[in-house]
Parts: sequence; C-alpha cells; structure tokens
Amino acid sequence: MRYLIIFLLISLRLSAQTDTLHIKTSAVCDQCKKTLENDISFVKGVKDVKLDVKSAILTVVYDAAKVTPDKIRVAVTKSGYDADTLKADEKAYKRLNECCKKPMMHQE
Amino acid sequence: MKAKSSLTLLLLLIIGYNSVFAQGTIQGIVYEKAEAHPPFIPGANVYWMRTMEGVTTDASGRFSIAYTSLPDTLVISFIGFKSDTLVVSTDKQFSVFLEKSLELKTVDITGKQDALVVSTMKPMNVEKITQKELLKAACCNLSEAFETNPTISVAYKDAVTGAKEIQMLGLSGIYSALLTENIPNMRGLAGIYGLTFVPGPWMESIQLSKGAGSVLNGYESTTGLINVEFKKPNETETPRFFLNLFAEDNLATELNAIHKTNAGEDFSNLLMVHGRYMNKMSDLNNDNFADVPSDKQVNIYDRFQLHLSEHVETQFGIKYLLDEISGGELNLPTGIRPMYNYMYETKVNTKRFEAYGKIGIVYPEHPSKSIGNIFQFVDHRMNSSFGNTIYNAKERSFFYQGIYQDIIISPAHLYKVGVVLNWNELWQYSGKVAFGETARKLIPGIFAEYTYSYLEKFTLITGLREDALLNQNDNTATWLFTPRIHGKYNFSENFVFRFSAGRSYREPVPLADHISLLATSRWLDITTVPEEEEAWNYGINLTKKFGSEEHPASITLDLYRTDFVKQLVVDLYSDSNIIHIYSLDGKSYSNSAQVSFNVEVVHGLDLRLAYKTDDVKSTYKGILKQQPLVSKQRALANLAWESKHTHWKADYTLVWEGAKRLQPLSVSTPEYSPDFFVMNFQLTKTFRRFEIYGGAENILDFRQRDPILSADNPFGDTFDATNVWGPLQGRRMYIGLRVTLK
Repeated sequence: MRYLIIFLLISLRLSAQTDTLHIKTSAVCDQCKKTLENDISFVKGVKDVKLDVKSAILTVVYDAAKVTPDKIRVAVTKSGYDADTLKADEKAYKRLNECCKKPMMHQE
Repeated sequence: MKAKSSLTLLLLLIIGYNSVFAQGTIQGIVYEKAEAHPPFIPGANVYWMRTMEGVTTDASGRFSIAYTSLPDTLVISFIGFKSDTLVVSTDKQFSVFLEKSLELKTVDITGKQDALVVSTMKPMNVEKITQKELLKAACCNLSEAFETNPTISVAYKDAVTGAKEIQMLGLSGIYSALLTENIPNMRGLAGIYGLTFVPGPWMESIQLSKGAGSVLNGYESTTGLINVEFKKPNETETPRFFLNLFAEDNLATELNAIHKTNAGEDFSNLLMVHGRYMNKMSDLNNDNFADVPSDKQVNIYDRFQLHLSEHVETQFGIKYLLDEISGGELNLPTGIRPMYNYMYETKVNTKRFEAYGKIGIVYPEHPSKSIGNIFQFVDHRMNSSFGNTIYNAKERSFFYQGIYQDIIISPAHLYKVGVVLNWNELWQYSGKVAFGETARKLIPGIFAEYTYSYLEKFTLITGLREDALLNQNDNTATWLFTPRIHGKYNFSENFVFRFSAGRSYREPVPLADHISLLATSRWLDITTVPEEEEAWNYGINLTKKFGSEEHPASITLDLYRTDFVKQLVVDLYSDSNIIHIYSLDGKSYSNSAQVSFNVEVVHGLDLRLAYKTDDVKSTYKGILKQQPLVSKQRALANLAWESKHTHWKADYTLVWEGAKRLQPLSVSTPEYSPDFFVMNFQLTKTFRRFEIYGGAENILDFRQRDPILSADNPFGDTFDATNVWGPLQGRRMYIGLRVTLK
C-alpha cells in the first residue's frame, strides 16, 4: 500500500520540461472553476491547472512535447468557455449550469 | 463539582461576551441585495469570526459592534440568506448586502470534498457521510455504507439468509430510526432486510446523528437517527445520466442507472434503477451450507419535483422493489437422514411498494416561515421459509406529517409545531408461533420544538411530543410522551460541546424484529404480550478542530448512555432449547464511549483513527449479563489518498473487532468469540467522463469457520445458525465502472 502510494506520487512528479500558459477565459464562478480545472486536467500533457475566479485567468502547466497552447485553448472552448480570442463551443456552453453562463452571451 | 464549575464558566462566557477590552465600535446597516431600493434586514447576526462575539441588527437593519483590535473579519448571517464576511480595518460605517439563498440552485462548491464532515456548528451531534465516502464501499447498498465509519457496526444476523443488522451505541439497529429524506422508513417488517433495499449509487449522503433525535422525527430513535438523502432531480450536482456496472469474483453483478430530465425550470424528474444478480453459492468451510445466499433484486425509484408557484414546491416519488434471497444446503446428503429426504433451504422473497409526497409552502417575503407536508404509503409483503418453518407477513402503513415553522420576533427564536398520523396494519403467519388476527394501530400525535440560538455560539433545542397509540384490535390507548433536549456551546469556532437527553418509545414486533431466530431448531416462546419499549438516552460530545490550513485535524469524543425502562428481552442464555422473549424485569443499559481523530497528513492524504467501547448489559431471568454477539471494543483506521485533480484515488481500511459474548448453545461453545481484523482496499482511476475502480474486501480472508451448529442435521434438535460473530465470506475481489454525463 505504502509502496503503491510512493510509486504513484513519483510517477506523477516525474515530468519532462514544462511550460506555463495563461489563458483569459469567460469563467465566472466557483462552479466554473471546478468544471474547467477538472476538464483541462484530463488533457494529455497537462501537468497542473488552476483558475483564478476573480481575473478568470486559467494557468496551465504543460509538457510542450505532448501538447500545444492552441490545443489547450480548444479544450477550454469545448468545456463551454471562451479562451483568449477563441469563442466557446456553443453546444458545450448550452450545457453549462445557469450560474456559469455569462449575461452578455444571453443577449447574442 | 466538575459540572458546576463548567456551568459557571459557561455563564461567565455568556455574560462576558461584550469584551471589557473593547477599543471602539463599528457601525453599519444590513440590506437585502436588490436592484433598487434594497430593504434592510432586521435581526441579522453580526459577529467577529475570531471570537464569535456579536450582535443582531435592530428594526431598521442597523448594528453597532465593539472590537478589540483591527483588522478583523466580520460575519453577517441571516436565515434564508447567504452569509457574508467582511474584512474590517477602519471603523467607518458599513453597508452590507446579503443575497437570498432560497433556491437550491446556488450550491456552494468547495474545492475538496471531505468524506466525513465533522461539524462544529450544528447543535446536534451529526456526522455527514458524503458522496466521496459512499464511493469507498465496494458497492452496493446501505448495509455496506458504514464500512469506513466508526459509529456504526454492521453484523450478520444469521448464517443462512444474509440478513445484516446495524448496531449503534452497542444496541441493535431496531433502536435507531432510519429515515429517507426525513420520512421514517424501513420500519416493522422491513427492519431486518431494509438496509439492503437502499442501493449505494442512489444515495447522495447520509446523516448520522447520535443519541435521542429531534421530536420532529418521531418518538423512536433511542440510540440515534440515520437519514439517507437520495440524488435529487433539481440539483446541478446530479448528473444527466449515470451508469454503474459492478462485478465481483463470486459472480455477483450489479447495474445502476440514473437518468435526469428537466422540462423547463419548473419540472424535473429523476429515474433510478438498480439490479443485482448473484447465483453462485460458495461453500468455503465445507459444511454443505452456502456461505452467503444467492440473491436477485430489482429496485426502481422515480421521483419528480414540481415548482407550482412562487409559494408552492412539491415533490413526489414511487419505489418498487422485488427481492429474492435463497440459501441453505447445497446438496442432499445421501443416506444419513432417511426421515428428511430433502434439502434444508431458506427463502426470503420480498415485494415492496412505496409512494410519498412532499408539499412545501414558502413565503419569499418571509424566508423564516414555511409549512411542510409529508405523506407516505407503504405496502410490504414477505414470504419466507427456513427449512420446514414458514414465515409470511404483510404490512401496510400510512404516514402523514405537517410542520409549521416561524420565528418569534427575531431569528434567535425559531419554533416548529406539527401534527402527525401513523397507521399500520400487520398480518403475520408462522408455523412456529401462533399469531392472532391482523394487528391494526392508529397513532396520531402532536409535537412542538423551540430553538433558541445566541449567534453561532450557543443553541438550545427543546422538543415535546405526545402520541396516542390506539390499538384497534382491543381498543386500548397508550399515551406516549416524549421530551427531548439538545444543546450546543462553542468555546471557540473550533471547539464545541454538545449534549442531548430524551425519552423514546418503540413498539416491538415480536417476530419481524428477529426473523433470524427462525434459523434455529430452538423453540420460540413469545407468550408475553409486548408492551411499548421505553428508554432514556443521555449523551455528550466534544469536538475540537485544530492543525494548520494545510493539515486540518479534528478530534471527537462521544459519551452516551441508554437506560431501558421497559424492554422486550430476547433471552438467548437461560435455556438451551427455547428462546424466551419476555418483558424486562431489572436493569438494561448500554454505555458507549468513542474517540475519533481525523487529520490531513499531507495534501491529499487523510487519516482517520477511531476507537469505540460499548458496555451493553441486560437482565436475563434476574441476572445482569452482557448482551450476546456485541463486541465490547472496536477500532478503525482509514487512509484515503487522492492525487492532484483526483485522477487517482486509493482507500485503505483496517477494522479490529473485539471479542463477543456467545450464546451458550452446547458444552463445546466457548464463552467468547475470538477477536479479528478486517482489511479492505480500493483503487479508482478517473477519466474525464468515467471512472474505473477495483478492490478487495476482507483481504486477510478471515472467516468464522463454524457459523452453523449441527450443519449435518438441520432438521435435528440442535441445529442453529444464529451464533454468528464474524465474517461469513472470504476475500472478495471486485471491479466496477462508473459513467457520468453532466
């Protein structure tokens, strides 16, 4: 059991050269934070992800050999959020909770 | 002496709240958050987070609060509104706007969900078992949900039907009340097998409250309350679609599916389906009896929520269950018993239908006022056989409860009053015991509960309840008067003291309460006309939270005592041929003490350690003896780990069960059972939309080798399958899949 945990910890820590990326998103609340962090953490090559709700900036630590910044931005839009200049995927946006939808997008 | 000095301390703390070292005052007004002309909120709580000392706002929403040093954090709370905090660094005038929290949609999401929530705010001693904790069990149903919980132990009742019983404070589960979303459930006939009728994946959380419960929840609940909350149709946390597949190495398979439909804002429906199939009977101890019976279950639950108007919220649900359990001998032994040329088989078939509704009336302009109505109908049928003994029963019951709640002047004084009506009809037939005609009972009652709260610091709940038990068979009436009291005092935000005391009643159902006693060739003597059982329960709890933000820790101490005034005693000691069931004559009590410790060792790794000791004694034919088959001591260690973003989860549990007093069935039966360990492990890998989990239960493969006495001659005089003290199944490996579509 103990060895298993150590093994798991090591396998998670062992990582190649990483880069950091900041993405301006359309996230608005803690629910968004949960959704986005969860979704992006599953993108291949992503090592760590954190959303600052106040500034709506998503900080992603990733392995440049495995994933590109553009791929991460696309993943953000597929979760239903804008990523820098990319617009949110409409279908994914519709599925978001009411509290996660931006008021201005309703009027569009 | 000790009590006196702590009371003095308590009084000192209450009187001295307005600190003598005050440096100045902060003034402000509390408003309701609104587009224009926000109305002010009178009676809102305003207090310092650090010391919890505070004031309430006056009729025009104004407050003035003394401070000792700045900066400090001010908490502003009011019933029906979201609490707000304010960091104060200068003593200027403040305006605070509170947001309404009437709608369930505004769920607060925390980054990390704790598996077991130990509160220092609730007045009652409640442990909340969350979704995360529920996932730690291999699967399956409520009887397995307590594997990682120190408060409740679950034990097999007999070695042939797989019936399990929970024990709380060392006493049988029949003395704790089981509620589903605050509706009393699984009573009477369903008492014994009821736990296996609540599938794990349907549950959202379980609240365990120790000691006498609130009068709102009935005159029962001697040792505590177990309230199960199911997944709800209108909550965002409930996935649109959920599928769970589960398989065990003994070929038990399970399927759970949940589907949510929302038609607009006002209607939402949730359909939950559960199926279980296990048809391979193993016999590891070679006694020709299946270790655990095979079982098949189909369980369906559909519930919907309807928002009728601004004032009326309704929800309805129907449940249907089919369950078949069969066990017993696996082969017909040749030649040795010519009289009984057939196998000893056990069968328990259950059909259950349940329908309920809740109608709530709320006043958006009056958030503290509400009216709640609950009604429920249950039809439960059971056909069972234990070898040559048949036991068939039918039960129908109806339940209604209406509660009105409001505040007197300020939210510090909250009261609830209500009426309740129980109707129950039970028909039983058995070849072993003569039952009379169908037993019919009508039990109307009234109750009132008053809660006084002094900010978040001190809360006192007093409840009174009067029920009239009308026995419709002999037209007699019994009055049941139930007083209850609960209190909480916070020494600080992280240190709380709680106490509770109360009387409780229970109507014993002689055979249904102890169906497992049919798995023996001993005779049953239930000639005593059962009276309502009556008991008093007293308890205290101390909870202290400490540690740093990175390593939060808590320690809890519980001390509870239950004293029976009237009890229907099941005497498994006095006679080796007959089980006598009679009214208590003498003392009967349970003393229970528990210490538990929780800590987050490193980020993502939680450790829980607990130790419990129960001293349960009853008077059997004039002699005070320890109750059989209850372990005097129990210890538990649980280690739970999750990786960053919970892509991996691992869970390890080790339980130690102390020796149990055994029934003296034969000269070779030892007085006490050996103690033993049970070890479980589970590993989960999470993907974006699904999870795969696998694990092993009872890794040490510890089993009770000889749970059945005279297994070679089940129709003989000495056959007995009720002296069960340990696990009946060996090591079990399982694997499962969960698919979630949000």
